[in-house]
Amino acid sequence: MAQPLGTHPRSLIKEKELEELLNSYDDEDIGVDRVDSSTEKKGFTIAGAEDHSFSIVSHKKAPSGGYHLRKLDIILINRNLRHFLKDGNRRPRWHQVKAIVEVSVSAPCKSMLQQIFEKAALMFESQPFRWFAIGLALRGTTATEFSFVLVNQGGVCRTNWAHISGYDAFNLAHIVFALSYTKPEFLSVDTSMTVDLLSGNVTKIKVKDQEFNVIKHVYSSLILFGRGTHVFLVQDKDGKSHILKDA
Amino acid sequence: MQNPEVAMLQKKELNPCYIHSTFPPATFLTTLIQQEHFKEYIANEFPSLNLCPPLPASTMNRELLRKEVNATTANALLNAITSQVGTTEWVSKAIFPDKFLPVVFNDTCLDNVPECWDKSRQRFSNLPETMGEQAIQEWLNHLVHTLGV
Repeated sequence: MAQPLGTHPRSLIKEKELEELLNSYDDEDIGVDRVDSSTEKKGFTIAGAEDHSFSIVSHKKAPSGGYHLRKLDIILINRNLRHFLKDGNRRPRWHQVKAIVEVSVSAPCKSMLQQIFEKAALMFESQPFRWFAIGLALRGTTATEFSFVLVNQGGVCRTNWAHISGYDAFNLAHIVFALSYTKPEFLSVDTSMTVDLLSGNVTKIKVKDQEFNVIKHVYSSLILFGRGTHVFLVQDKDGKSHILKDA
Repeated sequence: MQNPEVAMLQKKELNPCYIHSTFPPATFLTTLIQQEHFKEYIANEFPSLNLCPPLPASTMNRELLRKEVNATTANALLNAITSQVGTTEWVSKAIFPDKFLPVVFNDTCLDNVPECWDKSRQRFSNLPETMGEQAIQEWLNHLVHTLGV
């Protein structure tokens, strides 16, 4: 256990001592993951991979930026954002949510799927750059089962409820691995749109070889399903204005 | 002497049924597509368009309507034909094939990590028995981290 800084008179601390002191601090004190297992201590070996993390930060505080407040059991967000939010005093924003995980001991399957659909609608409303929303539902006690859900404006694809054992468990591990490390475009982010990381606003849209500056996101659909769910007022390089809509 | 028609109109104006509600001024965004035809209008309504100013926001409160519509849609969808069912293998092979991953997902990696996978029982060795959010979060992150190493 690290000693509090105050117990070290400033005059006695030299570089080496300070290094040891800082390194001795508990991980949580400096806002990084607690390393519980020997495997985790080894760190990452996948170069250039995305780094997402599962977080319960929105379990008690609903994300902001959606058309109404909905708490999420677990969300997939950038790992550095998770560290930033882990003190519990801040809330994430909907545009930062990359996937939804619903967990329950005994909730009916239908109810859990409905939760995912409704939260997917919030993702679509706040993330015009998203092609589809990904949900993972886990339920049960001793015989745990899971279902993977894909929602887009055309409908829903999902897996049957599968027990978390045997071959299906390997597939679950594959899904969790992919969610954590795969590139944004494979998690349904439209790369033809440039998104401001801080605000989540779409700033540029590329259509074939033309790039447009977004002046205003003028329309976001009322409903979860359908076409033309997002409409933008944009300007081309010559200053002419156009309307762009998704289709 | 006042014109009787004017007097009648004035009388009507006082009648509440002729007092119309006042709406916010309309903003014709589509005029921006044909700037050459609507120069004056655009100059008046969007004086600094080139500076990308925030345009007037809608004052309509759509929150309640959206909530209701989406809840109804989600309910309907649960029994609708638009909901298609696949296997977990379909997700692994079609949604997240190995070519989309930074490294190929190798089943043997999991098989050889006893702290994650119980080989004899063919299940995760530390899957939480209670589906609590905290426990599942830690388990998922531990699994991901282990597979990433």
